[in-house]
Amino acid sequence: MDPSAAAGVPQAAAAVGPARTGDPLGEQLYVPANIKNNYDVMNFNKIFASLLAGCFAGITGIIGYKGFLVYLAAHALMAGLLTVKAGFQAQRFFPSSTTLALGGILSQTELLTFILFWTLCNNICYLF
Amino acid sequence: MAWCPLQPQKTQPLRWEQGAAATPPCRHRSPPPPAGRWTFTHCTCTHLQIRPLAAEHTSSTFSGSGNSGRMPSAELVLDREVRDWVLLPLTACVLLMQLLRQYVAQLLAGQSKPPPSAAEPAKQAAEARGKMAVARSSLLRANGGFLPEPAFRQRKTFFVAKDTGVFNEKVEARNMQEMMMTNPDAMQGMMKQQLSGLVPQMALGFLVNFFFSGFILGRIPFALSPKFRIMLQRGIDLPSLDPSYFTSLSYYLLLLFGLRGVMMLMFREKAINDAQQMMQMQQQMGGAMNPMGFDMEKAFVAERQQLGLVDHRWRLEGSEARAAKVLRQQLAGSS
Repeated sequence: MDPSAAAGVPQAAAAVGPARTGDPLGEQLYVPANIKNNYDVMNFNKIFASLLAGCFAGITGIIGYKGFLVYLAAHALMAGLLTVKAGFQAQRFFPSSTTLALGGILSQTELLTFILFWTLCNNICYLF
Repeated sequence: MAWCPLQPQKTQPLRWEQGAAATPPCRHRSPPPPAGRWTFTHCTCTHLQIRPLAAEHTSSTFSGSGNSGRMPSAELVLDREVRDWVLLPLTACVLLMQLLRQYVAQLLAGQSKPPPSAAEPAKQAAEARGKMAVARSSLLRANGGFLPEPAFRQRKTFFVAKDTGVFNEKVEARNMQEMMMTNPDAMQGMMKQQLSGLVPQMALGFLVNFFFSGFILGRIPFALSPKFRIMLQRGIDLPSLDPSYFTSLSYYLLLLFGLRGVMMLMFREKAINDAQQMMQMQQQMGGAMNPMGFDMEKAFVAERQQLGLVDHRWRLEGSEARAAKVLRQQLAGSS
């Protein structure tokens, strides 16, 4: 057996909340792999919503800062749909109840995706 | 159309002359701008013309002298060929380049085997032991709150004791020969990373700058402050042009940043993230820059310091009270 092949360090299977190690024991048990998976799902959906919001804003010819209202509305809609998917119990799937609603709104990736597709669709439809 | 004496020609993208500050880009004599809101349009000979804005676009008439100092916002209508031959192909090119980079990186990563960090099995075993010890001590730091105090102290002493502690063992310095052996692997890894990273982007940026320079490509849909003009309109010197209009190079940069989201949609967590990669490379450069895979000496020193800092706090403090509460709730709920 090759000892250097796999540094098979046993991962911490479950981390107990709250996250800081010095505090007294919380009442919940977190599984890091599941938390990461939920975050990934939420980010995927939010990026998709930003993309569609950009296309919508560009095609309908919205100009100016109203476009960012479309962006926020799309994020709110996606957060609502994800909440419905989570059975209205966001606490079960995310550490904090506001993560679904507010997570990733000001993230660089989503904002730039929105601006890119807004610019692209607006230019194709209205500038040429 | 009315006054331009040229015959209809094949459409071409506009070429702005350097330093043509306030003159219209049409090389032919043009009539002075008429009163009222005016705009640029293209005639059949593709030179710009100044024409009065159509009625449905005017929101307020621009009274010539008595305005509040607001710049007239010229609404450009650009040539359709620019869209067909620059905007869409550039978007497709950058998207395909990102896809290619992603797949090449995946293929190269799949091929490389883990670098052998030592020749002899004895050295390998010692190194594996060192790695395990570091991992164990970090687990101890993270989960020490679950151990009673004497157990925690015992484990800490095992690691940090003066002469016999694991982290105080003398680590044999590796000789140069082994460093040479591991060297090519590390260098190859970095080269592959750079190849699939910066080089294609810089090459494409150079091409874009070479082929598509000197004209306006599109417009950002919201108003920007004049400071953005330097960023967005590199080769163009028209102060009266809205800062929202951008050139091809700035559109290329916008594409690079914006398509990162699309890449994340396509590849989930395996998408190459340039910003993160640059930060990681900087951290690696600033930290231990050595060709060996695992530097025991520095890792031991770091772990020793961290263990010295940590304090034991028992996290099961009020667990009897909490258990009683939970049981009471259960009993109240069931009865």
